[in-house]
Amino acid sequence: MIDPVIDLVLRGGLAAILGYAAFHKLRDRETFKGQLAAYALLPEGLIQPMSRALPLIEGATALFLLARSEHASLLSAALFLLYAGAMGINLARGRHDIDCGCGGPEGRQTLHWALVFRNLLLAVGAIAVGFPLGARALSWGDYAIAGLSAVAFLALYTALNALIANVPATNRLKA
Amino acid sequence: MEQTLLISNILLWLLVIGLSVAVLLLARQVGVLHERITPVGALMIGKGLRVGEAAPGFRLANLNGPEVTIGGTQADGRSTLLFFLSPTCPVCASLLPTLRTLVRQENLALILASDGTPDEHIGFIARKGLSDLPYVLSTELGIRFGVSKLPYAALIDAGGVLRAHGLVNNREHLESLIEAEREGVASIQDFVKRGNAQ
Repeated sequence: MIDPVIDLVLRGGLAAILGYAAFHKLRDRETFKGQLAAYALLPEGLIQPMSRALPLIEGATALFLLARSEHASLLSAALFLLYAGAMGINLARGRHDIDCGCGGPEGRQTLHWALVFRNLLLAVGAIAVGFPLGARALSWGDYAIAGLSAVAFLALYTALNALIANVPATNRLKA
Repeated sequence: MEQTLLISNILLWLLVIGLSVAVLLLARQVGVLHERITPVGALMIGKGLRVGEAAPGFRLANLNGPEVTIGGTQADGRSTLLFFLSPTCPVCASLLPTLRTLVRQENLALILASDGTPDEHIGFIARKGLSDLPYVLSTELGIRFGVSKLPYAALIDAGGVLRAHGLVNNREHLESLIEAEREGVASIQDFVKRGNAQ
């Protein structure tokens, strides 16, 4: 059982994250293609089609989450786990310096274990969305709280990403 | 009582959002500061070769034409810019147009260097229109120049002496290599060290 307000916050937040990810990948397709190739996980022939397909899948998942489609929860969890796995494999290979592709063309965020952990948390949130809703009538106050929470959640999420992106530069200064 | 709770709740929400935004802005500012204090110049990393010493001589097969010689005295009196790249490095590809303009302006000979099997590079050469540039594949070359990160560039003068080398991520870094040759400093770090000594 999950309270409807928590469900709303999670759906809104995850849809915004996926929607923005799709948006920046579609806006600069060439950069994303390069970032995907740098992960060195796909054969060369698949990079072009996958670089086009992934943002579309992300965008569709965001819409499914908002439309409360039945499988949106599993689909979004699968996406977050897929990315976590791809980053984990490259970190295990010792390729810390490739761009993670999460921040768009200006993002310049290199891989870090914190990003894998972040994606696992997002996947947990995505799975929680799939739980049955608690039966409770929502008042205007509940919607207000859901909206405010989503704003706070997204601001903190972006802040944490910015902090993770700063980690390599901070380490260089310490060295 | 209920009135008090409601007001306290509204205030708390405003504070939570305000604080989240403040943390976000602070993190961004830290990022900008990091960008500002990172030296704008090709950064020398690893040990590799020493500037001012003769560059190691290589005679390598060229994917786009006759064999090329790296190191040693150049008959045409031009310096050589050796650019290490990889087809899977987006920054390398984005630097190629800049690189062409720069070598034309400075009248340098440009050699592209990478490693791996020719198959993966032939497609890259065709896609990026690089068939007019010497393109060599040699793991040994990268090891001798101490290339650990891409894109990497090395500038060798007409006498075969290594003048500057380092990691190049943008136009400023590339230009700093040429500037380093002109000023006779090995790298941006070397320049800073000299400034401190004076």
